[in-house]
Amino acid sequence: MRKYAYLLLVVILLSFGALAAAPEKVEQVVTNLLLFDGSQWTNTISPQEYPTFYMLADADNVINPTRTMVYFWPITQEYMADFYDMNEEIEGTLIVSKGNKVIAELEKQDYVFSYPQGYYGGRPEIVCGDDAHKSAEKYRSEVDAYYQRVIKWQQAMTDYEIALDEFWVNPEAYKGRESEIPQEPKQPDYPVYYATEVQRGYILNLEPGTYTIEIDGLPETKRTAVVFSPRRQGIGYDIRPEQQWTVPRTSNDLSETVYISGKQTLYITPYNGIEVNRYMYEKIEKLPSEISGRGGELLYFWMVLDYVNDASLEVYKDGVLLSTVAFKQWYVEQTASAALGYNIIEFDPKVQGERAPSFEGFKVELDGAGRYSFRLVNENGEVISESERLVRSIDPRSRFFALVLPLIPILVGVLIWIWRSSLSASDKGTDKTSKVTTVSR
Amino acid sequence: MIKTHKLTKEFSTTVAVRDLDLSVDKGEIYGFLGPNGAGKTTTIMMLLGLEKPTSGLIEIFGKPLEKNYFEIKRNVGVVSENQYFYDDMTAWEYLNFFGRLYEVEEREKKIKAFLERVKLYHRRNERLSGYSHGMKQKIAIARALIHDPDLIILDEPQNGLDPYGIREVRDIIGEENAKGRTVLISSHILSEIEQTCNRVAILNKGKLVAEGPLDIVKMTTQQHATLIVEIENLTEEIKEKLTTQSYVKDCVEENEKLILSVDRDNDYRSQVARLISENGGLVVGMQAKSYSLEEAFMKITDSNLETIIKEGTA
Amino acid sequence: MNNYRSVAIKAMAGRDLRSTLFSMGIYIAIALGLIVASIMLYTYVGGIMENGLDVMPSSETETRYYSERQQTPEPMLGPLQWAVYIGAVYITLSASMSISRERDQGTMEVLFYGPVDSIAFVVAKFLEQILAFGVILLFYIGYFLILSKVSNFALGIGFFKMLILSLLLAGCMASFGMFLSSMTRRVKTSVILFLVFIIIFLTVPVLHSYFMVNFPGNVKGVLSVARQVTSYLNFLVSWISPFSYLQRGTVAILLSSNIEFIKSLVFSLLYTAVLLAGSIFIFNKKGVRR
Repeated sequence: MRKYAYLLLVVILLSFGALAAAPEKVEQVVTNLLLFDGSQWTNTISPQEYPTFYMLADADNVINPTRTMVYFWPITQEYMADFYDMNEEIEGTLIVSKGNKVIAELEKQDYVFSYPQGYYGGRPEIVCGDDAHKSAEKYRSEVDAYYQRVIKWQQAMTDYEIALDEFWVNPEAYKGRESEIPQEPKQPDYPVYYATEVQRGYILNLEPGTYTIEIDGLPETKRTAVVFSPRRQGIGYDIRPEQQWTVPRTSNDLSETVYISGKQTLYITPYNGIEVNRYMYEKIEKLPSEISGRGGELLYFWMVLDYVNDASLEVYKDGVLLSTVAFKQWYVEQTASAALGYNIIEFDPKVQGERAPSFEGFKVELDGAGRYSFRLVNENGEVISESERLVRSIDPRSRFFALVLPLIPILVGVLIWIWRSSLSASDKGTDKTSKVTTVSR
Repeated sequence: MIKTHKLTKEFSTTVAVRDLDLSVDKGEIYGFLGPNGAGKTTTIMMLLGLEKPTSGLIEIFGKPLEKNYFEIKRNVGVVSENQYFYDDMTAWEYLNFFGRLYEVEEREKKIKAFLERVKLYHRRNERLSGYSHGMKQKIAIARALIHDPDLIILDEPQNGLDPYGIREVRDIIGEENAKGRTVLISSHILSEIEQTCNRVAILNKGKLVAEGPLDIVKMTTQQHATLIVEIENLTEEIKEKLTTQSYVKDCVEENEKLILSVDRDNDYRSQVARLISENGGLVVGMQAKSYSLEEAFMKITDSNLETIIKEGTA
Repeated sequence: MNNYRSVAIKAMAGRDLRSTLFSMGIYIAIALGLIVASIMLYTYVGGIMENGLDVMPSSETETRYYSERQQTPEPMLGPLQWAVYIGAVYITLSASMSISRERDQGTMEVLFYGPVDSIAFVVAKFLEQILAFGVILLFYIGYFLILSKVSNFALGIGFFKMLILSLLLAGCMASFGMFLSSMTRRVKTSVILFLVFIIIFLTVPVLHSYFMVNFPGNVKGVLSVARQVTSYLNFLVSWISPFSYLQRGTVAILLSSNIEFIKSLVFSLLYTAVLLAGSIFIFNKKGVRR
């Protein structure tokens, strides 16, 4: 026993040694990648050990060959770059080839990421060339204007506080001239528009295929780009049953069926989605990782791009239009007296004040007797493709059949067995000679 | 009907059959004899294609077996030494299955006729697991005959049967042969072979040691003929005279009869009779002894074997 | 094929099928498959009743927000898949005894007295297994049609693809079982061999996954060797195990990939043909007699 304890101790000590060993940094040229993932840009690197990277087709992607220090980080099983230690961007003409044919020669461009609906509010856009400078300038000027407004607001606040002090000296004096009572100045809003600083890089926008990229004359910058498209794109839904609003089920595919049991109220939130290869998609997000994408070569998954809030939902029962439902915001009101412990009510800013809506979507009430379907129609009344879904109401009595049906084969077997047993011969024959080898199946 | 030429089967350590030349003619009942391990079953298995010969040729119905496998096999019926049955089947189902296998026309009618012939029709719907050995053997014979084969191969068909069953099998063989079918029968019940077969072959240690019509085989196995002579007034002088004759090899008195062993190169009966009467004796009766197949078989496969082979009688 | 041979195949396959249908084994296997399917469907219905809602996709679908969630495929597909697995295991067991049992019992010798050769015998045994699986599938189809009607669960295209795939799986399983059977003279040995291979087929992928999940990166020493060995074994098993052919097809169905589906069908057919040829070769080497 003691022997094993010593052995265990040695193993543990060795493990500490392994963990304590600092990763070795190696200088090399990596390709710094800002890749579009369908909704935003994500940063990863392509070191020498991972010379093939993946990117979405028909989208602007930014690449920057850079000399830096690279090391393998064993805990997360990935290669990392220490740009603080060394960060030398490599200049030159980027040659893009497909097979042996050069299809583009690119120079570095200026670019920014702009956020027209705010950094947290919507999807970013990449803006290149002169427009990049304009975007950055626009953001800077809006910020400058904001600061001017803040200065003014601060001055107004000072004036307001002085006026307020005067007011409190003799409030009675303001009787009959209430409009002269000092009003607190409104704090200026931070500008919604946001743009990053102008940066430089090669902007790659390619059709699906496999390409070779290399800065002219610098073979260590050579990389392979696998450019792919989403397998499908369409409308997906988050579907919330009233009794479990926190656990929405998703439906991405036209062929999917929504099953309900009995009378149900559903809240349906549509979104635009794309179906992409899991391996390639994970490699967009983290290329130089041994774990990312593993086992996903054949798998596809749907990714939400943005929610659709400018359409209405048509609900059909047995092929007949039941209702056309409007998109609304909903608020979950906790109520002890309610059966579920809460009520889902339409969100009203006047009632709910500064509280945010709990979720958005279409409210659909189904009586559970029939086959239903729903689909999205846009503002022009046109059906949005791939948006139709079937809804089936399952019959709980089927559980009884599920229990009974497996007994049928046993019953058949027993009946056959009884029949075959009745054919067994009794020793009625006249020939009673000794039995020899007999076989049975 | 069956012809083999220099048929040989070697196993890793033994030679089961060596240079076997067999010829079975159409319409005959051919007995195939030999002690245990002589190579009879191996030969039959080679004839059926279940064992591959090491060398030699097999022709059945005048055609090589390998090239006409299905054609030949569909025209052969076999009853084997061992009884292997699908015991979960009834007799009717079992025969029906083999009827399908051989594509028998008017199958049901034939099955009924065969079951009636072997007196098992009333038990046709009983599973074979309950059948006795004798009943199974009858079903095996019915199976072998259901497709009206031209050649019937029977390997120990009376094995384990009671005398009644043996007779039934003998009758069936006779009936089938009367219809013009050729029968090759391997058996250790020599009396049965003797009663049934036209020609026999005797195999020993993988070699054919005797082959031909039954009587000739029996005769060729004897070096000397035996005369049994009944004599009135038998004297010592008569005995001495006979003993001194060059063609007499042995002379024994037994119950007032003399048993003489004489050369087979001639018929010495008249010479013997004359010598007895010249010496005062009266020949009351004289007959040449007839040997049974069993005696011939024992002789061939036992002590005289080497001599017979040397003499080339085999 | 030789007409006489096809007659022999038909007769022998018919006899064997009758024998299978007159025994309890097949009905127990069917019932076991249906019990597993029932448990799954019972759970689905219970889940929908409890949660009020479920979405049954026809392919593996995930969203960015539910990336770890494996959704249930179309409701009848999973239960059918498990029922098919159980039916196929029965077929493998039955096939693994098919040749050795006849040799062991001597009935093979009697068959070969007649117009039967090794090809006819092996093909008949194979055909019988496929027909027996067809009977199993008929029960399954009846069961799922009734339950679909009663429950209102949809029968999607994946269900019917799975039915086609399962027939080919049965081919793989039967040919594999027969290959084992052709190598042995005794039923007992065949069954032991079957169990050994089933255990190998089930444990190697588990071991492989264990090493890949728990030691994914740069491991050294014994662990590295063990990971490499299990990796090689897993590769080998992925080509010799009949289960892996169903797995390939199932993945293709779940991915809605017609190319992968057709590829899996072709691989299954090739696998079956190779093993059947191997069975005939070994059968000829072993001979007919006990």
